[in-house]
Amino acid sequence: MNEQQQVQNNAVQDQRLHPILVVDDDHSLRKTIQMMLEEEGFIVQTAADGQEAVEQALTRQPALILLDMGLPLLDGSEVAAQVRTHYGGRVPVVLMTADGKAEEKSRRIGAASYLRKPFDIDDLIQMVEQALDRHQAE
Amino acid sequence: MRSFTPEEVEQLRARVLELEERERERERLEAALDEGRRLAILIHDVSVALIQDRTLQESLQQCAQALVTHLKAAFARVWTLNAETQILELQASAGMYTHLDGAHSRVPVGMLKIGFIAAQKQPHLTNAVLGDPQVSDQQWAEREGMVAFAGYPLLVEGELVGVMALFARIPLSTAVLDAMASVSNAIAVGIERKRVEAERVRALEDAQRAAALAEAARLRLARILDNLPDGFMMFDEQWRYSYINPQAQPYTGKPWQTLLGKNVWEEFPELLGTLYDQHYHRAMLQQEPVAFELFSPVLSGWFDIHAYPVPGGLAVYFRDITVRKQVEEARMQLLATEQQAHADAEAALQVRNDFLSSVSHDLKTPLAVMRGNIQLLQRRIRRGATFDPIWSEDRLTVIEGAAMKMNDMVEELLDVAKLQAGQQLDLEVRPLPLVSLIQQISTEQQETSKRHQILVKAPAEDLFVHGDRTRLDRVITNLLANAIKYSPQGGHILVEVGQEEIESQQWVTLSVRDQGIGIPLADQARIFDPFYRAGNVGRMQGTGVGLASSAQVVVQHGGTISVRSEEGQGSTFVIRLPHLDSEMAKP
Repeated sequence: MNEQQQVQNNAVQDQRLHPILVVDDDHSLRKTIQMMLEEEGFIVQTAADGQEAVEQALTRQPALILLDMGLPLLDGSEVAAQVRTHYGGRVPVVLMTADGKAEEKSRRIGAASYLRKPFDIDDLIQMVEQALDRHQAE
Repeated sequence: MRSFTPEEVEQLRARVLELEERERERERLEAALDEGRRLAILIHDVSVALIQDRTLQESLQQCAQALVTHLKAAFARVWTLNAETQILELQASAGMYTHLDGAHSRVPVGMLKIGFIAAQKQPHLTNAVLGDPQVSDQQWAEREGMVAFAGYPLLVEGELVGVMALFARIPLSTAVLDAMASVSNAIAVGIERKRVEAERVRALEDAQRAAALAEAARLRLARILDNLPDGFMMFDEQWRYSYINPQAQPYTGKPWQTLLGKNVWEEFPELLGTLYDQHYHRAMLQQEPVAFELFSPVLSGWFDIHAYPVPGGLAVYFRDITVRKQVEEARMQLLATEQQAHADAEAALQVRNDFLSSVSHDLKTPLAVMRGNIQLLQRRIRRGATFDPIWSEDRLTVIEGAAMKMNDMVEELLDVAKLQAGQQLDLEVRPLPLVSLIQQISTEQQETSKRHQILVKAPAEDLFVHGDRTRLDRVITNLLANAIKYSPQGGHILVEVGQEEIESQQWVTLSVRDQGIGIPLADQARIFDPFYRAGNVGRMQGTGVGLASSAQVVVQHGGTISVRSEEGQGSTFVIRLPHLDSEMAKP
């Protein structure tokens, strides 16, 4: 078992060590998503802009990033790029967008999947679980 | 009857003999006189024939006829020499033969007795044709009773020009032969004169023909030059006008007739040192064609000019291309306009796409908040969880806040629609304490950012304006949100509220200063236009209508909005609204 696999397994084994990072510049939506996930038992961290998101992601490896595209300082694609540079493919990204180009955008930044605002809470939970499961399977 | 003595008889006989002798002498003299007269007439006739304005052949025929008539010849003939072919050509034949064809029509020099005379340049004379070895056809001579033949070479200064000959049935006297020698000289000179004359005429005709050809060529060239669609001028080597075609004449600047023969640089010294000077001299001195285009301020037109060195001077060919230039220019302008229009349309399309994307993002975010909180409530209800009134109240408050935020957005969009339609807003105006409003908005905005410190400097006592609370709230919120958004690295945002008097009018002044990216100078004039965003916004989201909408609201309040900014150093937005005296503001 090499070091990389060790880290991956740990990510799934102990969700507490690897929170879900929610990044959105809207305070209310950030808090709402946090609450939606915490109700299901996930550990959540939040960031209000791209720079804060990168700082948090690099300080503590997240299990998953729920990422809005239009962010101050660094936009979503830059955040995704920096996370990928640092962690390779070990941290999946789920994109949250409001416009019709979700699929194209998510492919472009290498996101695992995407959610269209306003999204359904069941879809959110399912998407997060799938992203974590798929990641675990890899 | 008296008888004569023998002496008398002898005397008489002698007397008779003497008389007879005298009579014979008289007859001889008369014959000689007659011959002399005939020879004189012959020479006269020949001379007349030769000086008459006739063709050579006609003159020679008259000469031959005169020989036959006056010398009682059987026939006489004259040949002329073709110097090129050395053949004697029969020109005249009079007497018993008058034909010009046949065996003696063309006699090579040296052949037959005629050719022999020509070759020897010596006359051949005989009064004994029969037996003369030179006369080949003796049978003919005997049959025709020919007695004498005389053939003379026709010589001019020793040069052969022809042969003259005759046959006679009577012997030819020395006087006749002498006369014929004279006649032959006269004919020779006559032939030569005619030949020279003919040559002169031919030369004259050639010259005339050549002149006619030259004139025709000149006329053709002149016609071509005159009918050229373009201007054409020629200068000689001394730079004198030698030709100006009609098309060039309107452009010469002076009557063209007066220019011919004049030096162009003396007539138009102002052209010295111009492109004309430069190019014309190059063409003339270096003998190479030049072509150039120039604008003539004098003629206020564009010209395409070609100058070609030609023998003896310079040919200048020019075309007025003003219209072409104008068309080109118009086409370029049209193209530039089209490109600009295209770019504008593209930019407008991009702005509208960005606007739609931004608006949908802005609207869908509170929708996502509302839906999320509703579903949280639903989940707890479905799961039969214990009712938590505080938690539930919080969810509903968040939902209401999102709904109100959406309402504000929709209101703003409606205002933008009015702005776009050029319509006035329906303001709900009442006395408004501006300092309180600003402090409240600053507090709200401070909550959205940890990186920025919003500092408010305001007088302790509130300042009132006559205003629409919702709209002015939106304007100030917009300014503060922009200050945060466009200073992504954070920093201080200074909000100052004050009162000032400008042109004896009292104003409330609000300024918002950030330390952000600033606005490029080129964009500052258009920053309040709808859908216009500065060039340095990058990927930062925005609808492009916030400032336009703010400006509309402020202006409709009787106020002003302005910006001072330096790219990279931050921006300061200033709003001035008419101050409402606090006494009047009291209800």
